[in-house]
Amino acid sequence: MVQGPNDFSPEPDLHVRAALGAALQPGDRAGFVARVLARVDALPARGEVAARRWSRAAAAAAAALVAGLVTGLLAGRATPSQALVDADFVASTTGSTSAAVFLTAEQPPDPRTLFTSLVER
Amino acid sequence: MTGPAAEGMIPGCEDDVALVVRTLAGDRAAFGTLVDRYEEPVRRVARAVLHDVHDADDAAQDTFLTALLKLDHYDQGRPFRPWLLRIATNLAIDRRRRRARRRTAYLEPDAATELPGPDVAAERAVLQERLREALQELPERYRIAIVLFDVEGFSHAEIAEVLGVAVGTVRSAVFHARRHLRELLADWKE
Repeated sequence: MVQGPNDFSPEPDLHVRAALGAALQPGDRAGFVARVLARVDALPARGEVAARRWSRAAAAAAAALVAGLVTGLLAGRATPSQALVDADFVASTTGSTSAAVFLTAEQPPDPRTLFTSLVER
Repeated sequence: MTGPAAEGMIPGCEDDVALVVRTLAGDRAAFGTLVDRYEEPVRRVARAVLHDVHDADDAAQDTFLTALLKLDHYDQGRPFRPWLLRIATNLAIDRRRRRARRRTAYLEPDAATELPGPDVAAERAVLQERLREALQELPERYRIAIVLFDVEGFSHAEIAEVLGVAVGTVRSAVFHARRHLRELLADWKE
């Protein structure tokens, strides 16, 4: 096994450099450069890229707007359906005003109200 | 071989930043000069990560295209080569991981026992193949570290920046990779 102070050397190892450099040496330099530049030429112009980005942003904004409108419409339709259960209907059905308050309240029930309704019974 | 300290300051040649500025202004020839200047280190680094030479060259091409598309993010106050090689390293690693999911590269163990012919060129070719295979046996970080340090002449600190690890980690990686490759080279001499 070859092991020595050179393994810790802060300087590049010329032997390893020569061997690895040769092993990894790429060929056909001109061909490679030509292939890269051909791919560069095939890229869309910067203006086109910017336009595509803008159109993507515009499409996303339009989608968000449509989603917002649909959500708002659905929410608007949902409100009248809640009104089907009104306080008078509940009170006449259950005979309890507290139950009417419970079932038609917009906020979560208050435990104190619940307690009061139980005492009433 | 010119080290990183000399990069972009080649006598009689336009420096990297000037070429970058011209490229950003739409000068195709300036970008061509950058590609020509750095194709070797980029391809070597890609090849250190990827065993397949075609894969490595594809990754190297992608590196230059990515660099071009991100050129406006390049900090012109810093050296160009480490920035470029960081892109090359990351793209090669990504490509290798994608490939690894699809197939596992298998290194023929018997290939190493093939006797070299009397022809020196053939013998050298076999040694180089052995070295490439030995390199592939090393952990990814070791491979990149030793190629950047011993072949490309980067400092430990520069490699640490490229890999996003501590300098001590790079020193350790170079040490282990060297020991492994020296064993191989010594065996070959015997």
